[in-house]
Amino acid sequence: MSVAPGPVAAALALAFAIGCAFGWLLERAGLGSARVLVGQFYFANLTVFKVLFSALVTAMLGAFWLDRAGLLDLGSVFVPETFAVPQAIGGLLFGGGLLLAGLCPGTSCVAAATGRRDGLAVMAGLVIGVLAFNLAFDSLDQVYASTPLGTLTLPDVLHLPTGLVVALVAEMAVAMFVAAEYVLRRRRS
Amino acid sequence: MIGLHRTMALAAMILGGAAAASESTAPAETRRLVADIAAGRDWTTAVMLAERIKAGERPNVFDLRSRDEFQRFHIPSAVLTTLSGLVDTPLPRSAPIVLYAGDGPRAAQGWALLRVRGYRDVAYLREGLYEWIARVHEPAVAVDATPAERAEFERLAALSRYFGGQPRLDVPRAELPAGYWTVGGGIGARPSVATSLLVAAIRRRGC
Repeated sequence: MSVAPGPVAAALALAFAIGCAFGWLLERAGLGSARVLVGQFYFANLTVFKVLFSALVTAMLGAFWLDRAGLLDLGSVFVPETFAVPQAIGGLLFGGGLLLAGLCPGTSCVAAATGRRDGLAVMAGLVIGVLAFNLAFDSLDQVYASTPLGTLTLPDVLHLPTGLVVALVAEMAVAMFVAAEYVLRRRRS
Repeated sequence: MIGLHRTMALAAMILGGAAAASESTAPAETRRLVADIAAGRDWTTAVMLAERIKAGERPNVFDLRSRDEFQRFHIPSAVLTTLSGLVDTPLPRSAPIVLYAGDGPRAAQGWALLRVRGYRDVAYLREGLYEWIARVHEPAVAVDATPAERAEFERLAALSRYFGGQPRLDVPRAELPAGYWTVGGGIGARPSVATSLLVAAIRRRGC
């Protein structure tokens, strides 16, 4: 089935605009600096946690209430499927890379855009990694598609109503923000 | 800035708490189910299913009848299952699924169960296997058919031959298989699936 060029062009333009906004916000939040990102692992700087958890809770509350208002069909929002083993391996690799480089894919682009050479180096590593993965895909195919668990969401896994899960995550996030501030204040003093 | 942070935290707590409280009213998914049923998005036709299979689209077709009935006749590519088997299906939530049964409401029940489980692209055959027999396996055209009816029949006949069916030409109008596709063809105006299969088998043997 062919797709009309109009909607595709509009979707690409929207994706570009969202990407620019995302990059700008990451930069303004200070996440273009490897020191800020690595500080997370030593509990010396909790900016990453605060920025990403704020975004997560905002998106969750926004999506939930837009759905309730009939402005967004949550059922048609794409939820990636879970593959336990390959995603655990990917998560470990990603975490290791993040710890070593001090940047993740999004923040490396932001760092490179602000003229940081470590950002450019991480982006080069990113491209090499993507190329290597695709070249080796035939031999990784078995692992890549192993342990499929389907599309999992917290309400599915916890057997709780969506609204209750939204409430729990939101209240937990606020409690963790308070705890993060407390930890930072203790470390500074 | 402290004031802004506190305001945001308060807003998150209020909106989160209200989300839990809002579950006492019908959730959005339930309202979507009702809207889909009202708009007729819960069912598909046998002809549309046949066209999708012929086009190589490979929807997941599930037969909810008994094993005996399945072995006697089933839609090509269909997989035999039960309602509990359907609920435990490992298919991804975005998988296209078409359900059918015999004369009872089982396919519609299966549709509701899958939608509640989060499957989005689910439909069932409104008149079950009978619809496939009447429209794809043995499409028929009346002896006094209009040009438009003949043109529609040609389309169905080509589809029928693809699935190894037997299109029937110049049938007396009173003997045309009745269904929602014919005038006055409600569910009570047609034979059961078992009778239809029996008649089709007799016709195939040439009696």
